[in-house]
Amino acid sequence: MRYDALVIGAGLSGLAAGIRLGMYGKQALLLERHALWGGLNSFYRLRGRRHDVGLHALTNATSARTGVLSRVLRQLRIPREALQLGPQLRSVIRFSDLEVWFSNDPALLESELAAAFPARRDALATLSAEIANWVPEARPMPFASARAELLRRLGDERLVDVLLLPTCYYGSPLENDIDWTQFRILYQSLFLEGIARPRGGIRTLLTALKTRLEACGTELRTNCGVERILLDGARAVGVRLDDGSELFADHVLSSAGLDETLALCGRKPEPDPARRDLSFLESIHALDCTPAALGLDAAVAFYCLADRLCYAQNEAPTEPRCGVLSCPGNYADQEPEAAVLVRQTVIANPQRWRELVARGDEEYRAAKLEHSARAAAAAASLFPDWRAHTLDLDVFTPRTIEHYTGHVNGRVYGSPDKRQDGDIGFEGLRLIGTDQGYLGIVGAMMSGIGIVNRHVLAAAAESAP
Amino acid sequence: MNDSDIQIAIKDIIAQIAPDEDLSQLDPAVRLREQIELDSMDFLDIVMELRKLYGVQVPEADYKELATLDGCVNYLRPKLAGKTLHCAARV
Ligand SMILES: Cc1cc2nc3c(=O)[nH]c(=O)nc-3n(C[C@H](O)[C@H](O)[C@H](O)COP(=O)(O)OP(=O)(O)OC[C@H]3O[C@@H](n4cnc5c(N)ncnc54)[C@H](O)[C@@H]3O)c2cc1C
Repeated sequence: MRYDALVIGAGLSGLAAGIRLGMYGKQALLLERHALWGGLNSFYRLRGRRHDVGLHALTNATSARTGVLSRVLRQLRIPREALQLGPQLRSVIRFSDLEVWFSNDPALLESELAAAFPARRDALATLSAEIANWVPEARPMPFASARAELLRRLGDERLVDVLLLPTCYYGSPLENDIDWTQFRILYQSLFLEGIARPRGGIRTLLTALKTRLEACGTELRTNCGVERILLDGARAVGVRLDDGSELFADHVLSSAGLDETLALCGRKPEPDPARRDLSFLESIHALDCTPAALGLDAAVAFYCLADRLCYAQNEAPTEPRCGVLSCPGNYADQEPEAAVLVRQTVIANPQRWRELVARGDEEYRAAKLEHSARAAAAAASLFPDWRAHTLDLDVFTPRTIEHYTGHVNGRVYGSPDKRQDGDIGFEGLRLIGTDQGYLGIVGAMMSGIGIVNRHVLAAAAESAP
Repeated sequence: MNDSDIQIAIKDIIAQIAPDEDLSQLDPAVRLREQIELDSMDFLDIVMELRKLYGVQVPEADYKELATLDGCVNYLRPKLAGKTLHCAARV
């Protein structure tokens, strides 16, 4: 049979795309190589505990109808109550000599920044208003450095570092900088629209999406990898699966990533030799108490021990001086099981981890523990030390991310080359997800929706029913 | 089928797209977007629902005809002639 659309990947962008396609009677099929759905934000069970792969925070949490999450849920016809969102209590950005708290009330961030940088109070207010009123362009925008734009507006390198620390960690494929468009999207998503956590974590959101997908009649095939995209000249006409069978469709939507999708088309991507891919080492500590009981009361803590931002690779497998702590218990109304968790994320160097894997299982495992311990020790110089309370620890690396999502080098934020229109030069083929330029969980869903609306449904609306 | 049925059928569609809006106070002569929060994605859905439920085709050039409830009724009257409308909002 011939499909209207084949969707490569059942991450958040693919699931959202599949729902929109099914809602309007399109014959669509989601193809997922992994046994589970969710992609970069999936879930697993280990030693009796339930873990999320990602999900520190669901951004754009505001219940205002104009909020991005509200718009996404409306498009998918998922009631907000299904997500059981608990807003953050508060979060912090910390350097060794300064701390800036923020909450879902943007006024807190403004007053904290103004207190830490009194000379920049007016410039900060102007910036905040500028971003609040900014609407992303519909057309693709060339890269611009957020660092340069911020420096021009604020005139203070340290203040710029304070703003870049959280935004880089939540969405930049670049070292110590982020695209100016993406910075503004993230500033709106994190600081203006606020963050929350679904009670039950990513499973709650994924269950809502999967239930909706089934209700819309879109089929999801797991353990079903796409080996290549079938082309007829410059047109994508279908896919060949890992088992050799072929499927044909009018539209192919790929969430595999830009370089990965080009490779599926038989094109060799030409990575910029100067570019250094960033990935993460993530440690999940289950404690014998809540982190708040130890004084660790931030929902998310972005920190940097060095004077200047070091969101960058160093020669070692990890960069322990800079990272993120995430405590699911520091959101309202969370399940007790999650309330004892502390997640720690630091930058990892994919090349070094590849070498460690090559040295065998034992060395790889030892390296995971060693680098996780280094990261925890580093954080203990700024935050209450939770290490003596850790009952269970799981660590994942760039290798784990690559293995489970197919993203080259375990890149979480994809290629620095974003294609806002999803166009990579083949008719009938569009990118969805991270490399289309939308970020994070909510961004990925919006990306799947937007591409389906513009390139599949709008055309259908024009044609005879 | 009369004009008020058409209006109810449209409100039904909007209620499905934007379940949290209060549609009881809508002024049929005033632009929908000035009264409730509808973005271009929601608007596409109104068109898609009309197509799905009634087989009605609305080319993009005609979207502007749907700006108000009155506009919707005028534009859709000939297209919906003889069709059975789903009017859950009335019951
Ligand atoms: C540790 C971590 C923490 C995070 N924390 C947050 C957070 O707190 N908040 C937030 O908003 N975002 C967070 N993110 C980011 C967020 O998870 C991603 O931005 C989002 O999930 C991306 O979705 P996607 O659909 O674009 O891509 P993916 O999730 O990568 O989906 C792609 C899917 O395609 C499948 N696939 C790839 N190639 C093939 C193929 N050839 N055949 C078949 N299937 C294929 C993959 O298996 C995968 O399931 C986090 C990510 C990580 C790794």
